[in-house]
Amino acid sequence: MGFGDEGSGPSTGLHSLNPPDQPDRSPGPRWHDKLSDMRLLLCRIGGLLLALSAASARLVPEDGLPLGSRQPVVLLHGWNADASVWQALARAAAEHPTFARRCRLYRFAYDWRRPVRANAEQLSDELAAQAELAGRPVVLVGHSMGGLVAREWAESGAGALDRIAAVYTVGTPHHGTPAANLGWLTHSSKYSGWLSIVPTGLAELLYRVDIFRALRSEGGRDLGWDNYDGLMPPDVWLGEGRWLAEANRRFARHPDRDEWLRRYRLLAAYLPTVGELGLWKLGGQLRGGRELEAGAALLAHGLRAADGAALAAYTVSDGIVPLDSALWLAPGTPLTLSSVDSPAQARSPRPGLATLIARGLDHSALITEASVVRRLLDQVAAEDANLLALDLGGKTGLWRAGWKTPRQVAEGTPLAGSARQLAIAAADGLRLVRPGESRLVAPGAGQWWVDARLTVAAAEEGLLLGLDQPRLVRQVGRLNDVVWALDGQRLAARRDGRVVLVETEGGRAEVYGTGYPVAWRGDGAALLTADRPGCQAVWIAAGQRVLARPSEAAYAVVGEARDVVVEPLAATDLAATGSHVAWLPSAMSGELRLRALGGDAARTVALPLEADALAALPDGRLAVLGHDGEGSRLLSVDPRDGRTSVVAATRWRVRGPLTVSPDGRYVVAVWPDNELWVAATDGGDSVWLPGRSPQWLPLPGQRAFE
Amino acid sequence: MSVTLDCGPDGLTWPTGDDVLVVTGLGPRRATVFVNDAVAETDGDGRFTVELRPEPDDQWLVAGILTGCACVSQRVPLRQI
Repeated sequence: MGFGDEGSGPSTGLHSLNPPDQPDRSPGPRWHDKLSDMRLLLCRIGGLLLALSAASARLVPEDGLPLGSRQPVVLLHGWNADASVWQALARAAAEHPTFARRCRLYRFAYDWRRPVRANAEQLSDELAAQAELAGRPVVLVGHSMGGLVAREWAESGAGALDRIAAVYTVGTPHHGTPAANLGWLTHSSKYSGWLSIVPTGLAELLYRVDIFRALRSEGGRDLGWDNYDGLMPPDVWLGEGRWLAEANRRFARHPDRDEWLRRYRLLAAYLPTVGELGLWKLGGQLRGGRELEAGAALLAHGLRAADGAALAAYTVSDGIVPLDSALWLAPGTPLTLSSVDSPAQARSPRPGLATLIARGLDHSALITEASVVRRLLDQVAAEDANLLALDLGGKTGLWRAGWKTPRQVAEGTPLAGSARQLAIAAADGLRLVRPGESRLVAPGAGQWWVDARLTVAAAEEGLLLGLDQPRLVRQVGRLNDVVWALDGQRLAARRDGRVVLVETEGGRAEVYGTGYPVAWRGDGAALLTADRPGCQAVWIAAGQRVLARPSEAAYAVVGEARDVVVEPLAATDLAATGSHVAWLPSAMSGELRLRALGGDAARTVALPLEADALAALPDGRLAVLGHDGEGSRLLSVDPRDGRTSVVAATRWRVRGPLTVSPDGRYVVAVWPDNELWVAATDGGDSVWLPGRSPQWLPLPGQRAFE
Repeated sequence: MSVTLDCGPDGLTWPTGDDVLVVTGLGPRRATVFVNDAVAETDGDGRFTVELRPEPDDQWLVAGILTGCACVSQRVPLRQI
């Protein structure tokens, strides 16, 4: 490569631009400011790169305390930066109410001039070298290029995915950034095609500026527009000039060539003249006091002025990385300025990924601005969202999005749990298990049930025991089966063919007899006994707090009733959203019955398959599992307008009941008894897991990242 | 650390007509223990006494420690005679 072949100055480049021991507390990195001074820049040609040549990758924990049961969180800085960029986040983490207790930060420093792949390999080596991290899943937080390093490691195989608890990318150019291509544009004008659009004189001048020269490193190449996933695979490096020739050759036959040319012509049209290089102070305040909007910077500003919203897809940026690239949107995904103005409309591009769009911040401020850092820490500290507990044949396993398989955590079968501890029926009795600790709460080999909040346990002989303050709460007589209502204060149990409702606080018990076999739903949201036509249906919708006995046109109200549904006489499954009650009138039903709460008439929605299970999603939609000749399908049904769409499919025939994750992103079905199909409700990839009795663990106070 | 009620494996009997059932047992010294809804402090030898007012259909006594590593130590049958 010949790095530093032009530079012979002292190795002060990095420290003067981004001193590691004197963190830059301003919203933007100091080099942005410096860029306005051309003389200073030209004096630093090569110095920057020479200074960094001695840098070696390393992984350093943030505190000297033992890791213990804390979650390791690895921070990966971006291009032209070092580990000191995380100072603001580290300070905020130390003051965070829960982060320091639950997580431990590690800063990974790497040479950003090297290819992303090489740094990912380095990350793998560094993780392996830390004995206390052996076998521990890690959370990766990557800023800018650091996100690509995290991605590269995750995608590298070799068991990396099993080591990753979560990956967060902040302002990462998943599809590259045109800003990086400036390095190539300025290399020379002698190559054909898109490079020729750059004025020769300007190119020659910029060629001498170290920041553009750094962009022509292998690391900078990986940041090029769509290089990482599209035009130029990361493993192609032929040396600076030869690589450029190869890039041109591939570009000439690239299917998106016309679009690329359009972008680069626009880019060239708005390249600053030398006198305007001060505009490279990205983000914040433009000359003349004008504020940049939505984190837009030079390119966005110019292009928006020229072409308006039509160009928004790749011109709305944080000053360096376009929004669609940072959101990892597939090429061609429509994204307009209006979706930035209304972040809720900017749908997360990958299933299971939460999205935060911070407005008015530039690229570097994304990891220094207090409100964004706080939300990032909140999210990482609450990383156990969507935790799934499974019965792995007498052992309890946990799974969450991103893991290939569940991880066994304890002997015994899971009963219930929060994100921080599990109640497990073990051989010696009821145990509460948390990382590194297993505590026997009550002896006894009989059957146990535990409420969703882990406050009360029920024993087979009819004892209700307090878990947060262990003592006998209530004796209710021998129980056959127990399902807990969502509020954790009412117990619905089966005893001698009758339904028993117990208020665990006041000890009041009410008995409702049906005399019919009881089919339970295990999600605590509804109970249903109508398992054949003509049978009475008794159901309890915890959200509505209603118990109805339809065939007698009579009902008993528990708590505050908003509505009573008396219709589903022959339902085989039933679900209640906040606005509707829905049920399947028969097995293998080709229709779904809907009734608005407070409405009189039920209506019918025709289904494009034979349905046998349904569940309510938190956003008000219904998930319907059904089958056609091709296998099983998961439908999304909007009860308000009856619109249906297939969100997941498998060629195997899975069955209900459906178990919905707390945030509604996943639905679990069963095939046949010891395999689970975890389908994404947003159209993402589905996962097969071993295990039984899937049980999503609730996360109190779970916050959305939108 | 555990709590043991003064009774055999068959548990305790409760004479019909009695409102109060006096239960004694042994636990950690100077600890807070419970038997069903009643709470008591153990003495320097770990002994304790509680008075219970069982409901007619109560069939079990549940005893444990209420402080420290809280857990249920023992469940014994309760029979009305």
